[in-house]
Amino acid sequence: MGCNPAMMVDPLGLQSGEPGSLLTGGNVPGSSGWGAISGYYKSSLVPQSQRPLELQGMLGAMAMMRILSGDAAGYASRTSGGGSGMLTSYEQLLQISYWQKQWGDETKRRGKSKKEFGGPGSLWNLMLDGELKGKWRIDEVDDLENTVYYQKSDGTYGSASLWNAVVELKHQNKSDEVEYPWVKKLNDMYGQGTFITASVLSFSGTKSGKTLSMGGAYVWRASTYSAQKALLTELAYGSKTIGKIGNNLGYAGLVITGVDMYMNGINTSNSLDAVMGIVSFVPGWGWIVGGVYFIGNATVEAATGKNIGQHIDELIK
Amino acid sequence: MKLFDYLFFRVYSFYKKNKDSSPVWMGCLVLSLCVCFSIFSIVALLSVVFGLNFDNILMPIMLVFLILFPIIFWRRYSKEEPINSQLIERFENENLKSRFLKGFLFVLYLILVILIPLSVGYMRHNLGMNI
Repeated sequence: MGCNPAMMVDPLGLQSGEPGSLLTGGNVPGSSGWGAISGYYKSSLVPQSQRPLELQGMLGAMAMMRILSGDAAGYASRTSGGGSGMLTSYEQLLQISYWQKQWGDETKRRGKSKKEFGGPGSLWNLMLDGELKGKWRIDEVDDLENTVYYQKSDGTYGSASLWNAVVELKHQNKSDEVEYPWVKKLNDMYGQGTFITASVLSFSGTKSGKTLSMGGAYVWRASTYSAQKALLTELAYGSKTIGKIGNNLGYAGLVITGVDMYMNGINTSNSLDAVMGIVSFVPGWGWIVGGVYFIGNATVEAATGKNIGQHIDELIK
Repeated sequence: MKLFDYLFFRVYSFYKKNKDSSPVWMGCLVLSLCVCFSIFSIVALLSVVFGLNFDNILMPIMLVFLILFPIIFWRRYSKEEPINSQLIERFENENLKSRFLKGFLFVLYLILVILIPLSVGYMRHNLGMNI
C-alpha cells in the first residue's frame, strides 16, 4: 500500500482513537477492508467530473476519508455482527448508498440554510469574502471540507464547521455590529439628553417644582402681592417654555430614532425609544411614562454600561 | 395649504381640549412630524425603487428639516392670530361622521409614513434582504 498509517492526519487535529477523531482505532488503511474497496474508490481521487456518477457531488471529503481509511468495512462488520471484517460488493454498495443519502440530506439542509443567509451582502457572502466584522477574523473557508479556519480576537486560532460558524457569526453580528454606529450613538446620546428635560417637565408640574422654580417657599411668603403676581406670571411663562422644549425634544427624538431604525435596522433599544417617544406626546400621563422611561434608561446605562433595550436583548438570547 | 390648515386645526383642537399649555406649538410639531416622515418615506421608496443611496446625507438633511418645518408652521399659525379664528370658523361646524373619517385617515396616514421607512430598514438590516 502506498499509504503509511503514520502519515494519516486527522483533519480535526485529533489523535487516532480519540473521541471525535476520524482515524478510529483498528481502521488503519491496509488492515481492514482497505484492499477490498480501495480499488473502486481510488477513482474518487481524480477530479470530480471524472469520478463515478454516484460519487459526483454526493460524498463529502469526510465521508470519502472514512471509506478510504477502511472504516466502511469496519463499521459494516461491527454492525452486521458477521465478524468477517469484510463486506460483499452488494453490502458495500448498500453502505455507500446509505451514506450518499445521508450526505444528500445534509447538503439539502445546508443549501436551505445557505438560502436563508444567502444573497449579495448577506452574512454568508460577507463571511466567504472575509469582510464580516465580528470577533472572528476568517482566515480560510474550505468549501470541500465545509470548515472555517479563523482567528479569535484574543489571537488564538480555531476551526469550526461552516454551519456552526455561520450560526455563531450571525449571533455576533446581530448583537454587536450595526452599519452606521454614529447614527446609533447619536440616537443613544439624544435619548440620554432627553431624560433631563423630561424629568424637569414632570417635576415643574408638581407643587414642589413650582415652589422651587420661584426660589423657595420663603421667597413666596416674603413677597408682596404684586411681586407674587409677577412670580406667577413668570412661572406660567416659564412652564410653558419648558413644556415647549420638552415637546420639541420628543418630536426630534422620534425622527432621529426613525432614521436610526431605517439605517441600522430595528432592535429592542430603538423600538423602546420610539414607543416612549410617541407616548410622551400624550398630554399628562404620557409625559410621566416617557419621563420615567428615559430616567430609568439613563440610570441603568450609567450603572451597567448597557441600556434597557440591550439588557432585554441579552435576556432573550 | 388647505390640507395643512385642516390637519393643524385637528391637532390644535385635540391639545386645546386636553388643556395643553401650548396647543398651537403642538399642532406645528405634529404637522412637522408628519411632513418629515412623509419626506423620509419618499427617500426610502426612492432608494428601493431606483437604488439611490442617501444614507450618508439622510441624517443631516432630516436634522435640517426637523428645525425648519416647525419654524415655517409656527410662522404661519402663530404670528397672525386671526388665522386660528378663521380656521375655527371654517372647520368647527364639520359633521361628526366626516370629522371621524378624516381623523381616522390622518392617523392612518401618519402610521403609514412612519411604517414605510421602518419596514425598509427592517427588511434590509434585520432580514438581510437586498432591496
